[in-house]
Amino acid sequence: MFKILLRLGGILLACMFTMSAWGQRQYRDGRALERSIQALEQQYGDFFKASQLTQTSGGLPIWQLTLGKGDTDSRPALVIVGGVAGPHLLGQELAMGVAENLLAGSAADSVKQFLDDITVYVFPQMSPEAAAQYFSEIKFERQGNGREVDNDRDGYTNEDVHDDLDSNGILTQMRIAAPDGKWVMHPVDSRIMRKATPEDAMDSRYHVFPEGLDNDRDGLFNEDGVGGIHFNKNWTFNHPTFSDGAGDFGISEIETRALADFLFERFNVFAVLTFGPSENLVAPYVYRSAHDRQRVISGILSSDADVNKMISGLYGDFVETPKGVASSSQDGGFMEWAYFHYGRFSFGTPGWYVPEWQMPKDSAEAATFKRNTDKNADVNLLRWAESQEVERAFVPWDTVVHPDFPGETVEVGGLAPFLAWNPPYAQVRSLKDQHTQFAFALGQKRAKVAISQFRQEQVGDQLWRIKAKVVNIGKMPTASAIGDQFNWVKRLRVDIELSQGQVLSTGRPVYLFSAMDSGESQELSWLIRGNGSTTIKVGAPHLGYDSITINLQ
Amino acid sequence: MIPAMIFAQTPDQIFQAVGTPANPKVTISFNRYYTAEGLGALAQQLADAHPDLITLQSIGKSYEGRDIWCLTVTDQSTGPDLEKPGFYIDGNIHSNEIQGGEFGIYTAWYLAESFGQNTFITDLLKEKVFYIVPTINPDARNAYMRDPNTANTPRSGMIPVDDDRDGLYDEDGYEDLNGDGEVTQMRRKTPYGNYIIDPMHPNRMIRVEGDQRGTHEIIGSEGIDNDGDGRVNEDRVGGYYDPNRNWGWNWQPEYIQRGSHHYPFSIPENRAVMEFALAHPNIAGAQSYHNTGGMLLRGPGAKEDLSTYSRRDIQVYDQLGKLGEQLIPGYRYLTIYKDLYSVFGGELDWFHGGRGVFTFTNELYTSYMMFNSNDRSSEQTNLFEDRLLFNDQFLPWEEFDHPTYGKIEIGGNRKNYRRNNPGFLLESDAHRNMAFTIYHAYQTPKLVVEQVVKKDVGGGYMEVTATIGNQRIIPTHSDHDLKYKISPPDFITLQGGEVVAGMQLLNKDTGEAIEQEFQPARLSISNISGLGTVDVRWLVKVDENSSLQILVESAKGGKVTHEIK
Repeated sequence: MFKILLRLGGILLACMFTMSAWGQRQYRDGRALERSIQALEQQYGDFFKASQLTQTSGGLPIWQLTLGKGDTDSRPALVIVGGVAGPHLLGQELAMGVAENLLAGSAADSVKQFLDDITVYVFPQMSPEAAAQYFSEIKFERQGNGREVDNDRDGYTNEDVHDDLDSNGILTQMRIAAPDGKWVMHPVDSRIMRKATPEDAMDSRYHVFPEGLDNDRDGLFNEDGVGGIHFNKNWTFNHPTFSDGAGDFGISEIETRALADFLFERFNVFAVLTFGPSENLVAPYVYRSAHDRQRVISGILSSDADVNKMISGLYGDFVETPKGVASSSQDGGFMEWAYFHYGRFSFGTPGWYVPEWQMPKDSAEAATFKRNTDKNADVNLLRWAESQEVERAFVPWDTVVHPDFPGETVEVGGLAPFLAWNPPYAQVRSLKDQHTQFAFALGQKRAKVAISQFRQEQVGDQLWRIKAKVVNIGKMPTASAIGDQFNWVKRLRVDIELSQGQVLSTGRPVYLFSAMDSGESQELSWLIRGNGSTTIKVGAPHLGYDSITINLQ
Repeated sequence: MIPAMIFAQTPDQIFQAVGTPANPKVTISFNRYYTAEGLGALAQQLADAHPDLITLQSIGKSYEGRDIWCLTVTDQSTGPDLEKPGFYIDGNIHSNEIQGGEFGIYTAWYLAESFGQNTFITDLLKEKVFYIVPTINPDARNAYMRDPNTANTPRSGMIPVDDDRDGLYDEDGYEDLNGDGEVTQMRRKTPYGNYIIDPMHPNRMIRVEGDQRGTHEIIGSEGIDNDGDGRVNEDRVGGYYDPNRNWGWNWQPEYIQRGSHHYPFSIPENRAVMEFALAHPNIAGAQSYHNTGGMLLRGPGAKEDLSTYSRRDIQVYDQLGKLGEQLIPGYRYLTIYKDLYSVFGGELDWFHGGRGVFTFTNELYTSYMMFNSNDRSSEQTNLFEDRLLFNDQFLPWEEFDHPTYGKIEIGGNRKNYRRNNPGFLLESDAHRNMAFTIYHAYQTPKLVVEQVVKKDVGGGYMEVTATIGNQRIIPTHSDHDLKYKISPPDFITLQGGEVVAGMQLLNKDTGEAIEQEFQPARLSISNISGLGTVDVRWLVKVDENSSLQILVESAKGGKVTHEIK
């Protein structure tokens, strides 16, 4: 019943967020993104600010959008980040979609109140060079930024870049028949290659390589091409130092550093939502005792896992989630950093998965398909893409003349890039709406502190005892267990401000408290000598504030 | 002008003390300390006096905007610095650990003033380059010297940090309450105390033992509770972060490694050094001076990084460190994680782990130097203070009315005692530590084309076989460098003919070889080991007019050319 009510809530929210007239028909390139941001600025100047956080080494802008009214840096804030992985254009669309929908809904009282209470910082595209590869003349899944990098660390830079051998504008694969090949055709669909087993005949085997030439004759193809450091591999948690795309140390890049600096300056951030490869919303992270047995914490802490589980449930209330998806994380990833090294509650999801293709109900039609018994992901992807009539989902294998394999048959073809990352654009609108509802609900789950059960008592002439409780009336703790351990998350602070002539007999003028769970309280007590107006203020930048003023006479 | 005249001697008034430049172009007193600007002025004088040997550049700005000065010391007539093995020295990363600044200046001074006088130093500057950054923490160096501080503060730079997480920054620091120019100790008479005044040496407080009660309690360093939170001096200026926990090899966050700050190189002074090091891939050895305790430290800093030090790399460290123990009596060669403490994110860890550079941290000054003895008893310390320092280190106890503690006394040792070398022990320690870094720098790779054999194999082809040697103990690539391919490979190129095949010989006698198909003239060699050789061979088409030469390019081993006769 509860679930049904929540779903109903979702529908109501959906109504709020469908006033938008965003007629987006395709994934946005850098210029289209900029135009969209300018349009928001014109229409919603009261609730919206946009600026360039920085420019990447390739000279492209990183946009920073602020939703909220007035002094936005002084309110509790939710951060939303997209474009963490270059090929994942959907991440950018979801981040922009949440911003656009919230602004479009800002006429409704509840959304207006939301944007009065909290600030939403949105970074729609953190990998602009890599994402641009989707729109360029030769399309391929690129992760690296514009920095010139010697990817294979051999003393030469970009000496083995990609080559579009069949001149079709997209990079796929090549296969070459060879008895020592590690691949064979998939029995269900011969267009798809699968890993060979010892049972497979030698004359059925192929080498499979990325489409390209071995320009430096080292036996590898395209191993040192354009593209430098990956945004989502450059962060300090489990940083895979020196591996391709990671950088020589964590947060080495202009854009990673600019984002880290922006966030460290903003103590008002209470949570980070990332649309990227890492997943803890469809399925939450689960605590294991090994996580904090060593001094380097390797996984989510116990009480934070409880919060993750709650928010994962909330996500399921608004977003249709596929079955069988496990949580995932990535070494050097941003979403992981936001939790482990920034200390905030951090949530992430790609926002969409390739659906499991279903056999047609019609038996005659079904007979044309063999059962995908080994659940091969590529077979599923191709069948699903063809069922959705995705254009150019597959490039048929076709022979080319290849200088590295004289006299051998080299075929170029295979699944098109980007297919598994992004749904057809027609499906994106509903994903945007669902994720807007989730982000809206997430913002409302934040920790909030209030002064409660206030009592004042006259103990003697001009002698007052006052007592109060500070309570976390929100649904999340006032700080993550991990963030509660370091300087970069403020403690909950209680101040008592006295009038002239008043002095404290007992109690301190300032109290600081560690993380408090939802519903948890702390009792406060002071003995004050002297009459006058006295104010108690509680809060922290990421929690907001509550205060009470009393006249002791 | 006149004061300089008073101190000047003419050459005929001088007799050289062996091992020291007798009549230097720049005269520097090595029995006192200099502010950041003082070190900068000395660096400028040295650069002005030795324009063919020293260039001075700012490698970046500190948090408060001071220049971070680097002296590049080499014989410029033998080639650009980037083509020679480089040795990097800095000091003062912890702002109260000041003497690295003077030791760096001493090293630049000694090298430049000895050039042309001493054969060993002259040859060294022809082959190597020294990059010397006397202080990488100029802001807090000055703060340590000038502001209310103890011998232990500030350890960081001057970026404000909210140490107590109350939303205020550096709001509760030390105060020089009695205005004597120093932050010393606060003590209070009490019948419940746990200290008494040492009857033998009244400057000193001693803790009572067993079942006794003392006459005093020690309250702490001079200061008041500025922010009314019931705690004294808990959020000090330059708040707590540790510049030596902020480097980009296995960096860990604050709750695992206290002081690590936001992320690797989030501290501007460290960032300047990192950028300089990346722009100077020729750096093959490094030294980062700290104090105190007389130690020659190698990594790993953290026990989790044990695997980053291979047996072969440790052999090199051992050779250097054991000689260092002989050169500097009282200093011990130790490994940080097991002999000191296990910490992440040190400068030394980044130079070794992030750059593959053999690196030491020397903890300068040790109480061994009081009487060249390991006897550190209070009797020895008293004798040193009374009869060698004449109690210059001590400020007598004075009464003071404290807003929180009432009637107290303030007094004790000054901040320049204990951690900083006393003046008369400064120059000899500087010289010995410099000698250690010179040996370390001397052992960076020296690459030589040892042997070339030409053989006419007919058909217009010549077979050229060459042996390239490294005459020092440090390889062109440490094992750690090789594992992650931090430095590019060494390249050995045959120039002057049409090379049709090139190979590295695995066995010169049997001719077993690995052929390189891509760019065969420029052979890519992963490493030239310490005191080792590599053999290479080319098949080259030549005519009578061909003049062949071999070019060796190694990031850390320098550039060598050799004409083939």
